[in-house]
Amino acid sequence: MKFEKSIATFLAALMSLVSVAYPVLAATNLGQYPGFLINADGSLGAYVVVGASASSQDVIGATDLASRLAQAAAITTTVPGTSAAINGLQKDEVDINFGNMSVTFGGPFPDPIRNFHYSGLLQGTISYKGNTYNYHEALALGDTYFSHDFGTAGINGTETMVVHSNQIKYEYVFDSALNCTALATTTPGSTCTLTTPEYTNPVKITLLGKPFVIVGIGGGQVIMLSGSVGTATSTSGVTFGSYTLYSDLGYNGEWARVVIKDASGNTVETKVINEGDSFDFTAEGITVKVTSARALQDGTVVGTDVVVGTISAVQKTYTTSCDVTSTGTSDTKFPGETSWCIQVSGFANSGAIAVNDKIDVVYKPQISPQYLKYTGSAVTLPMPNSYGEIGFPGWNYNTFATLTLKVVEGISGYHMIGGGATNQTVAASNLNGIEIDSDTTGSIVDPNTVTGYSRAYILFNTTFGSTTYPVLIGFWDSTNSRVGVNTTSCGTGALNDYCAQLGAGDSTAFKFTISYGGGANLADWQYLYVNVTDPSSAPACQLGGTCTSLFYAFQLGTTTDNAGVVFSWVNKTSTWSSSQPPTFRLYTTDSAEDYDVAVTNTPSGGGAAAYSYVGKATQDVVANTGAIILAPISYTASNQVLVKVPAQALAVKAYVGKVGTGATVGGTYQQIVPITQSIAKLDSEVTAADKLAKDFVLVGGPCVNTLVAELAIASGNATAKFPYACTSWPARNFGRIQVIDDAFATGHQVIVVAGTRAADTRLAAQVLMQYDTLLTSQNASAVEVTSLSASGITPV
Amino acid sequence: MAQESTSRVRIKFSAKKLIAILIILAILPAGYLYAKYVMPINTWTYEGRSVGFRINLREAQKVPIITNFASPKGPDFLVRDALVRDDVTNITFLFKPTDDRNNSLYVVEETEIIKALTFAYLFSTQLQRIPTFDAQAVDSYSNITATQLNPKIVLVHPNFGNATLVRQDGYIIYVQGKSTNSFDSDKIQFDLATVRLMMAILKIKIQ
Repeated sequence: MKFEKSIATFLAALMSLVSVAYPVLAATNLGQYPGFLINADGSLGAYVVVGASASSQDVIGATDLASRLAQAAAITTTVPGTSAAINGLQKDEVDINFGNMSVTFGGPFPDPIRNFHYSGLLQGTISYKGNTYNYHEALALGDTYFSHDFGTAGINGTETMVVHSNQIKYEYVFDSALNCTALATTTPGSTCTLTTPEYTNPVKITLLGKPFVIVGIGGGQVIMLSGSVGTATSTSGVTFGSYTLYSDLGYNGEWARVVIKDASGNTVETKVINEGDSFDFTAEGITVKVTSARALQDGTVVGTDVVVGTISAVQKTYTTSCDVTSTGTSDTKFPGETSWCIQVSGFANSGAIAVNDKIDVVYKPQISPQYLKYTGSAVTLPMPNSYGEIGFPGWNYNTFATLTLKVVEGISGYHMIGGGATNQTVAASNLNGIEIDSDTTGSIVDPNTVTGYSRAYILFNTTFGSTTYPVLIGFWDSTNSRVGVNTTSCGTGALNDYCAQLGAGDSTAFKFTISYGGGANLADWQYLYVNVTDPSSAPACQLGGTCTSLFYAFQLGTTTDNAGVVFSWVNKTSTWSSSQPPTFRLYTTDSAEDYDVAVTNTPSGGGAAAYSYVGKATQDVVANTGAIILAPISYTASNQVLVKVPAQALAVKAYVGKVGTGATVGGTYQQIVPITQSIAKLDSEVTAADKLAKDFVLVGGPCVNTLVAELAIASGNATAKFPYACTSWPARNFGRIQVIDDAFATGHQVIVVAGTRAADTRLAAQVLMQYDTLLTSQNASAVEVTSLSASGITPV
Repeated sequence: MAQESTSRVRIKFSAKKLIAILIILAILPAGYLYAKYVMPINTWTYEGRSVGFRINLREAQKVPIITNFASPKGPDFLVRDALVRDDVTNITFLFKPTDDRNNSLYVVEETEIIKALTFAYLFSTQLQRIPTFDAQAVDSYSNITATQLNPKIVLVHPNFGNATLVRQDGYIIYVQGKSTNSFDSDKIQFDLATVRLMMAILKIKIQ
């Protein structure tokens, strides 16, 4: 394992340039700290050792180093693709066409989502007057759905998470009945109601990770306090914002004196507040509510329970509905949020909580519905207090072949000789038509031979006589950089044998297979249908516009929807003669037009699919078939279209939960590995076995740390591993940090943190603690330290 | 009427065998009881990982935890609740320097507590992060203040302590060893208090 660790450390440093063996590696340098102390599994492989005689500066320095190492012990975890380490529930089969998330509306997510789906939603017990009561948290997604409807402003063809007001709902559900009135005081029936709230013995809960205190219940309403909830004494404070509240004097059950200090520790307010009362400190903008005063007979505060919050925000009455626009005491927004508010369900009984009573935190976006559009970056709707999120990181498979369709003219076609190859003989020249180019080799598949190409063509030759219109299918011979055509069977009728001569009024077609995997897997097949019609038949324009001279249109689709995308190629020239084949453009002008490209859409909210004309759209447009037209107007103005064809049937990937600790969407992240064994020892506790098995961070010089003294014992001799013994330490003030390879055992490192005085050792420890800013580029194995800055660090 | 028949299997034991069996029968439950109630416990499996301790958990559990008010959930809960919270940003260790020989004990105890807190934070569903830690020397154990964002752990060296205990006062936790006038014994007392705090942090209870 040690060998692996060293290899891992050095590979990182040497950028994996070569395969190396441990014994020939160069000396470890300080820029590699603390990597060489971390095992391959991310755990810490070192002891921090202080001398049995340590100054208080050594104590602080060693603690700093140990705590920093505890956080540095981490393993790098790679997250493939765009997927993320999700703590929660992730589904990658949400329909792109008006696909709901919740199972209640036909989606894949459970309703509601609970702890066993996402552990961030809690279930457990609360304590009240010595009894425990069950509760659980849940999240309902309502009718939240996905759409790419081009016709809905706000979606415009982009895959979008559509969130309506009052649909996403966090629920705190009481699973046990709790009769507050009966238990709160020795005179049951007098408190916990809306008219007589119970401040001394309230019911304390946590909503979305924030503390709330229930003081009154009944009639479908709940009175709660919120803010910083805690117990203040003369020495233990409760902090809210930049103020900390203490309580230094009180009368048991009656009143407490509170002292408010600012961030600098200066007392800014002192006030006696009766139990159950609150007071607004207007200068500080905070309200303090004293819920319980406990004090000894001499006035010494045992504990003053307080709730501290923003003025007008500490005590609120919550009802069965809420909004995010009210202000003052009617403001029921969740603390710190602008679009989440609190409402309740149940709570019919005065002073008592019944099973299944709920406190809801409801999402009410300022503008409903809210459109969260996926434009290549993960979309998230965060829950309050970073409690989790509803995320839309992208597609089920983020793999596409991108096709570019554009006009070509003057092409020469060479004879195809099989297997995708051509010979040097020109079969036809001066050909005009359309080129289909793919960024994925082999993804344009000839259905007859199942050969994959990176480029294909529909080409038009000059006419043979006055009534014969020759059309050719071409494939790119990438070896010889030639367009291959096959004119050996160029009869009238079908294009299946790559060449056809149309008679008056005829039409023909060819169907390419578009397959990211080169045709090997049926699941990734889409089809590009090329329909060619003789101009003399003057067909009606498929798209509903005016197409008096349409030669042909392309359709990209699937077996179930063969025309998910329609590219409207139209002849530009009015003649197709024996000397001039036709030239083309998208629809009827050279500029961008809506009718250049059409996609099928299912309307937002459901209904029958219909065409949308997207040629002038500025953003990517998704078709029902999963093809994505890239920013059409950027290309249609130059008679091109770019379309991404998915490698699998396209679906939305969505999650409810949290991206894992330290994780990013895609790439790598650091996962902290907790330390399991002691990380600090006294030098007198280090055993011979420890020396063979461990690395060490030795804090203190040879006068106070016997292990450092041991390394320096041969000082003055060439074999000394640390240059200074206690008696030979230089007569100047400085700290020293030094990495020593093979110090006590081969393959193990020691790092010495020492100094002339205790303060110098402390300084060296501070430098090492800030290794990520002060030492990362340090190539030396030893430095002297005179100040906590780069200029104060000198390699030696 | 069917004839009822009985058959008996007779097993002969020699006296020696009988004694051996009786001894085994006596040892098994004794071994079980020893393992369950007596055998020293120096490691504990927490969230699937074996955590090592400097001292026997059975002994450490005897160290009292004193709190400034009662909680139905017990003193361990109050101690943990003061240190392991979603709003804690930094935890400070305070210590009063003693002679050089004894100062070193502070490092050992601090890092043990850091180990426990690291575990508690990383494996808390809500937290999954580690606050920062720092250490400060103090001249006196009086006038110490703390907040819920920055709780403090005050290490009281046996040189300054008259009892081995853990004490909670709001967001201040005192870890105190009893003086025995012997470095090695003092170390044990300090370890006992430290491990008791770790047990509260990690919710460890020994039968």
